[in-house]
Amino acid sequence: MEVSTVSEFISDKCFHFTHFLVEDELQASQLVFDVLQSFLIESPSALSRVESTGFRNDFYSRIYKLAKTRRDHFKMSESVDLSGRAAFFLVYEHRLSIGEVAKITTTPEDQVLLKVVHARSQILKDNNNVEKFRTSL
Amino acid sequence: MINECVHERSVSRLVSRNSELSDSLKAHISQCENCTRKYNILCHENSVLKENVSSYKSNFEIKETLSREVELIVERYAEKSKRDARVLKNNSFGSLNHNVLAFVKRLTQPISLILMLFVGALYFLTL
Repeated sequence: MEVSTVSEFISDKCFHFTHFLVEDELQASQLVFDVLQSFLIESPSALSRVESTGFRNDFYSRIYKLAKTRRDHFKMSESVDLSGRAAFFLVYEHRLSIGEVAKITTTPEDQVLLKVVHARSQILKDNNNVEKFRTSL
Repeated sequence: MINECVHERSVSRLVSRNSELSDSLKAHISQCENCTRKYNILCHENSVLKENVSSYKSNFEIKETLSREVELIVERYAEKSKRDARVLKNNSFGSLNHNVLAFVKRLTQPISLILMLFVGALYFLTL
């Protein structure tokens, strides 16, 4: 297993995804480390496939599931749709297919696109500049 | 919502996907008021989304800390695995299958065959 490749994947892509989900740097770091530990305990040999899409999707899936389980600890607003944020991020940032996102977030495929659109509009709604810009045109 | 221009949909689809606009569509956007408005709104929305998503990226300091931590975790795990393997090797007889196979494998080595022939010859001589 190439330690530098694993650490780059975790500190870059995984942290970005986790931080987007839980919105807290410390909690995000802890969550990423916990998922890494779970991999090392359950299937350490899988880490050698760090560059494969299957491994990466499995890692994202574990991050999402753990974040969902711990959402009460994160003091996250109940209105936040975690699966929607995860789906939006994976589609927008990593350009994953709807099928892959559906597997990661355990959401039916026909609802993924709806969740992505909803999360997108929620982000835009939370930003005051968007409405101002629209009305200024 | 009713589109006021038939091209609004194409503009919306292409800009949302960050796809390249064709020359004819670019020319149309510059002429059509509705499409220009739609195009500007979408570009602004895209920049807002990009900024929002980028704000969650790890900065240099966090990246360094995370990399160090990950390297430590993986190295600690590798050391522990080595230690466990050593302990297992020293304190166990291994599996039955493994031991039988190893024994048979050793029997097929030339020195073993010579010894067996020698012992067999001695046995027949004493008869």
